[in-house]
Formats: sequence, C-alpha cells, structure tokens
Amino acid sequence: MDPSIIEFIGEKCMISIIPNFSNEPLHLIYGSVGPFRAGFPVFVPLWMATHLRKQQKCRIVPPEWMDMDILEEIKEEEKRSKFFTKMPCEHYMVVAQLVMSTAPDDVPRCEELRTVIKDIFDIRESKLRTSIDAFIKGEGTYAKLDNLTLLEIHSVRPILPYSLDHIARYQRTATASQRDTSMLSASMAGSSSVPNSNSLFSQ
Amino acid sequence: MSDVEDVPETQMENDESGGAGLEEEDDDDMEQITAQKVLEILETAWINEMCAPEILPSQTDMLELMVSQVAHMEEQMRDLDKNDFRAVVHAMELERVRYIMASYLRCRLQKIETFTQHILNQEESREPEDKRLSPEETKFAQEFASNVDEYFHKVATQYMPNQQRGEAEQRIVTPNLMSHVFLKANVAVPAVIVGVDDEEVDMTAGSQHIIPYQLVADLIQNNQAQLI
Repeated sequence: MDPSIIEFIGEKCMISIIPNFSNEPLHLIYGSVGPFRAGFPVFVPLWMATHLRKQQKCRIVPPEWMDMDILEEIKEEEKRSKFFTKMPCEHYMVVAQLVMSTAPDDVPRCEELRTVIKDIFDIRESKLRTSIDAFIKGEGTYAKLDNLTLLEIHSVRPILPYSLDHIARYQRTATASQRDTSMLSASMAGSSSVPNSNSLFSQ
Repeated sequence: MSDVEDVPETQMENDESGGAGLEEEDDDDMEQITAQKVLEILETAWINEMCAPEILPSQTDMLELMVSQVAHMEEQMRDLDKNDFRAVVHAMELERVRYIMASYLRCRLQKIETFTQHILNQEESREPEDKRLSPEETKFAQEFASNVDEYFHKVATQYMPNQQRGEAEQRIVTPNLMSHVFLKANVAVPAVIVGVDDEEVDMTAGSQHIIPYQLVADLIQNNQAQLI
C-alpha cells in the first residue's frame, strides 16, 4: 500500500471548522454535512476542511488532543508503558500533518506541537522495531497489534510480513526436502523430478 | 445569493421526488443511507482486496450501484456553476469515490494477470453462485490466458523439444495463502486458530493482529474481520 493511500483513508476523519460563509447542508454520498453558518463550528471530513481552508473559506479548529499538555502526557505515558498506548485518533499523524501544513496559523504553538507529535511517533516506531526483532527471533507466526495506527502498521509492512513469509517458506522447503530425501532413500530408484517446485513460484 | 442557495440541493438529491418538503426529506435520507452503506462496503472490499494475497469475491452489484449513483450526480451537476462551492465539493467527493472504484478494479486485474491460470482453474471448480470473478473479469482472464499462451508458443515453446515444452506449459503461478496479513476484528471472534500447532486465541472486537492469511480467510469473507 502506498503512503498516499494511507493519507487518503485518513482524510475521512471528521474535523471541526468555522466557516466564514453560510450554506444549506450538503448531501454527500459519504453522509450529510452542514448546515454551514458563518462563525459557527461544523464537522466536515478532513479532505473538505483542507480544501476550504486553502480557499480561505474557513478556519480549522484543531482537534482537542492537539494540545501541548495532553500530548506531553501521552508522550510520557508512551515512554513509561511497555505496550503501545491508545492514540487519541486512529490517524493522528495524517491529521496532524494535514492540519499543520494547510493551516499553521489556526494551530496555537504549532511548531512545538509538531515536535512533540514527532517525538511520540519516534518512540512508538522504535518500540515497534524492538518488538518486531524479538518477535522474529522468537519464531512466532502470530502477534497482537492493538492500538497501532494504520500509518505505523504501514511503516513495517515492507519488513515484517515479508520476512515472516520468507521464514515460513524456508521452513516449508526444509520439511519438503527432508521428506524427499527420506523418500529417496526408501526407494533407491529415485525419480528425477522434484515435486515441490510449486512453492518456488508462489509469491 | 439567496435564490441560488436552495436550488442545487433540490437539483442534486430530490429531483425525482417532486412532492412536499417533508416527504422529500424522508426519501432523501433513505437514499443517503443506502448510498453511504454501498460506499462503506466498497471501501472495505477495496482495502481487503489490496491486502489479501488471493482474489476475493467481486462486488459487482455494489459497483454497479455506485457507478449509477456517480453518473446520476454528475448529470445533476452539469447545470451547476463550475465555481459554485457545492459543485466543487461534490466533484471532489465523486473523484474520491471514482478513485476507490478504479483502484479496486485495478487491483483485481493485477491479481488476475499474475495468477491467471490458477484463478481460472479455481473458477471452473466453483458453483455459479460462488464465482469470484465478474463476467467481464472472467472474459478478460480467459483472453489474457490464451493471448499469453499464444505469445509464448510463437516466440519460444514451438522451438523447444517436446519434453521441455510440457514443463513450460505447466507454469501455474499460485498465490501464497500463508503470507502474513494485518487484520482487524469487526466483532468478537472466539477461538481462532493462529498457529500451525492449533494454538487458539479469542479476538475481541476492534483488536488488531498479524497472522497468516489462510487461517483467517473465512473471517474476512463473513465480514467478521477486515484486513488493514
């Protein structure tokens, strides 16, 4: 999956905006939004919020969790905990990135927030890498990944499933060749064709 | 300004029902819910399809519904001013919907091209109601297979000795169903086998896991879990 797809999915998140125009509700396929009243907050999907903000038609209200104290607390919690803590939003990185790049003026202490969110992400990433290392060395095939967000899962997609697949394939080949040799030694005739070649073609 | 305001809405949604205001709203709501549901189903199918190693049952009906909905809305939007705020937002949403549908179909075609013969063999052994490909996809798969065969025959296999020719024609690429996928449980699923040695785990609703695909393939088809 491409990172832009993660962003696309994350853009469905609802976010509050304060429009500077008034309008009837809009009936989108995805659901109705509005009515828009100038000066009154209204929830819209993130993709619409960024579009309207670029057109200077609204101000974005940062989500509640985009607050220095709350984020500092999350960061400390994340440092303390052995496991992944629950994030305030399933797509916190996507939301933070989009809101802060389109509307830095709407977010108080934007630069500091950016740093602390990046810190949280880094802590989680390094935790993730350590646990993957332990997981693969422990030769597991199954793991629970609660509270990981889509972007974090995606960041290990190139490593984790593929290396597990490779390990599984080696194991299968090993057992298959073991079977072959025992079969061969049992019947000394030994047909020349190798029956397990299919697994080499599978992706 | 005020005379424009309520026009587009009527044009967009309520054009078929010309009744009283209240009735219109009810109709409208019904329509919205179904369209929204269809979109949700398509989105899930799209993400599942992107993450699953094998081809999943086609969402032909849902696609048709959504295509006609998109066409219908585009028809209505033609009369709107291009710079109208509503027109722009609706156009943006339609683009998003279209992207999901196109990406979904593209992903399926990619799988068909990779696993052509395997998918065709499987389709043959399935009952008509269990078929995973849409009629168009079946046609594409068959044509693709015969074209590839013909091409290989022309450029290579006809010059090969008989014995090797047989081997070359047997190349069937199969997806690795034991490849690991990320999964999110939609509902609580008790006692899912998660390992080769029959280890069992109870999945709670909303929990996330990494697991070999084949062990959870039926959960995905029953919509008890979805891939992420």
